[in-house]
Amino acid sequence: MRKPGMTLRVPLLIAAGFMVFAVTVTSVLFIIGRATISKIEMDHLNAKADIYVSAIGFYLNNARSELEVAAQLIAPVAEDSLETRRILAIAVTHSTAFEYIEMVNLNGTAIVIEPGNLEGNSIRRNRSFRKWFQDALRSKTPTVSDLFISLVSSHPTVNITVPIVGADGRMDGILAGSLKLEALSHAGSGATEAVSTGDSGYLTDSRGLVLAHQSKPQYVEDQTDFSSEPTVREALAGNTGTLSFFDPVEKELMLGAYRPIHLTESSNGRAWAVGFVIPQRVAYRPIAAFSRAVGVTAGAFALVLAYVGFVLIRRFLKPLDQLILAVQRAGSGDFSFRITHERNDEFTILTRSYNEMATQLGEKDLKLREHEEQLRGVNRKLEKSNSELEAFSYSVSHDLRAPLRAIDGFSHALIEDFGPLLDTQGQDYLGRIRHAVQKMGNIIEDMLKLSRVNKAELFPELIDLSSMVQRHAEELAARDPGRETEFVIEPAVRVTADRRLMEILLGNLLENAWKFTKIRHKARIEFGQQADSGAPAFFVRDNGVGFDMKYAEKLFQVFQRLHATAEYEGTGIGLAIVKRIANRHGGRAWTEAAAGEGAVFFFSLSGEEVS
Amino acid sequence: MSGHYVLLVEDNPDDAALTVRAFKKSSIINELVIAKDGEEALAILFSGRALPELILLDLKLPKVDGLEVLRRLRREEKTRLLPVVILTSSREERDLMEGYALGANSYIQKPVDFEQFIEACHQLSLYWLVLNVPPPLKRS
Repeated sequence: MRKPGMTLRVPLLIAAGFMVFAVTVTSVLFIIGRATISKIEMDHLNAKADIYVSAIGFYLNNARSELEVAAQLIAPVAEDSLETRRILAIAVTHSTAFEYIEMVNLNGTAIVIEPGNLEGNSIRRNRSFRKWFQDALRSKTPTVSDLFISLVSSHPTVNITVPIVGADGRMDGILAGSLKLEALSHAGSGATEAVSTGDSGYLTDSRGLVLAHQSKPQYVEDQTDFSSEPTVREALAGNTGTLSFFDPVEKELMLGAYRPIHLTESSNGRAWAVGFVIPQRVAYRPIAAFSRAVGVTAGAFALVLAYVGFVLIRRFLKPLDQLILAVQRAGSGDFSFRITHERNDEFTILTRSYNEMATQLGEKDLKLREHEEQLRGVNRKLEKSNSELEAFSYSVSHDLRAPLRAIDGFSHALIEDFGPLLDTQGQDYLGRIRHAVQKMGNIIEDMLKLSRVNKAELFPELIDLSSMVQRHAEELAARDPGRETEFVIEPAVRVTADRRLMEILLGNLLENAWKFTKIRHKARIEFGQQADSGAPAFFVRDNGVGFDMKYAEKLFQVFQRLHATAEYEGTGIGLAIVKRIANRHGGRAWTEAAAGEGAVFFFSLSGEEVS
Repeated sequence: MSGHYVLLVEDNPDDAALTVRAFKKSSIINELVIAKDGEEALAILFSGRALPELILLDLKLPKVDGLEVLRRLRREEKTRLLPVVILTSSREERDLMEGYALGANSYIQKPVDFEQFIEACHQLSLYWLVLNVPPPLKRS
């Protein structure tokens, strides 16, 4: 089957593309949304901070006024008298701002503390080293202190002080009211709380210590230092504004508005800081939720898109699948498969063309098979008749030898046993009979050789033809010592061929050359090789009687002789054997000659069996 | 008990007569017993009579052929080591291979030329009956 490359890849690509688009759009929406929300949120925070500042200012003014009234009332007394205590008790009881009020003389000693039950040991202790006291003494006007630990309550607090001025205009003492700080946290809360949740206002003194905190009042008791808060730093530097920042105390990103609160005209610009902040996490919650919703929707949509794409493409490519299947089947020889395609589109043409092609191929294939079958039949018959022929020639050759042996043997016996009874002519006849028998024996022997050459299995190996020729030459010379024959043998001619068959081939050619040069006074037989259009040709050349080239082809056929038997004895099979051996090695045998001028016999070998 | 004879297994009477003549010519004194086919040869060999000194075995024989005779001889303990010379017209590789594989001691092709035939008979009898030392036969 086809690899599902396209079917999967295309829808995935579409889905991925859509996802990229969706993420981009969502991001843009998120950024724009966040900027908008940020702006709205800042406006809110500014408004709340303003309200908070006003509320605190109002609260402080109110507290100071109460204290000033009390100071004026006790100024004529200005000592620890019953009247003083009564006035202060009324002031503390009627004021919501103060935890206690103390009257301190110019030496820093508390004379009266109201409510009186708080007096305890603390009344004896000297306030002269306290900063709020020193400031009050120095300024001679109402002051607001920074955060400190009260000697009376042992809690963090802020003092508001007013001078007690006698009738002579001299300052007799100081009236100090300790503020209830938790009330500061709730100042203006009625106006700010309902607007939104998650935001929170706070107030610090001029050093950055928390005086009030709407959402975390414990920061006051812990005297938490907000001086590192960017909002506080900005406000204490006298600036008003908004900020997006990292909160080092809460350890998260915040949006915030900040303001300074100027405490008194005489406090030389000393101010407190008001901050109103909201965590960005909370502020941006709506837009984050929106983005998440968009992202999830887009993801789901991408999945649906991918699935739809997959289904569509599969539907679109189904004919292609079929085509591939069909071509694969056809490749393995099955032309029966047809593609069905209902829709009317480009694939219709393709499938129709394929189906037509498959039909034609199928028909051709069938015809081819029929022809092959016929050919195989013919081959089988041929093989059968060939092997029958071989068996026939084999058994004929064998069976012919037995009677020949009998004729020869008994002729021999006749001559030996009854020779004296025959006259010369009778003996001559018997001699002729025996000669004929031997010739027939040779023919049979050669025919058997030819059939053996046809049947023999080839065992190719590297052989040295030169030394083989040399050996044959020596044998021939030894057989006929009277003859003077020169052998010229090219050295080191090597081929890959069957040793036994090459032995027969060279033996036959050299025997021939030897035979047809016997008339020469100085016979010459050559062996060598020459290039024959690439493949080397080997040759045996003699300067013997030669022959007319008209008959060259006939020479290699069985029983074809060009010379009278009486002149040159032979069976007429030798060259046929040479040709068969060359053919079996994938080569051929041929000759060049001229009557009376000798002959050259060539053969070539390709190294592979062809027949 | 010793046979001192040669068993010639040969179906062709001409060849048989010529072999007898060739043996006479080569002055071999041993008796020549002739079997006309494989069956007869086996009958002689397994009759209980003394075994021959040498068997000359043709391959193409009626009834039981030469190779089969050889196969049975080699199977029997008694005749397992008898010298057997295949004497035949065939020089087919197949016959040669099978003959030697079955344990023939020698393989000689009958020449057409009678003089060569006499020479061959002379050589083989000289070798197998005079020069060759046969394995010690068990007399049962």
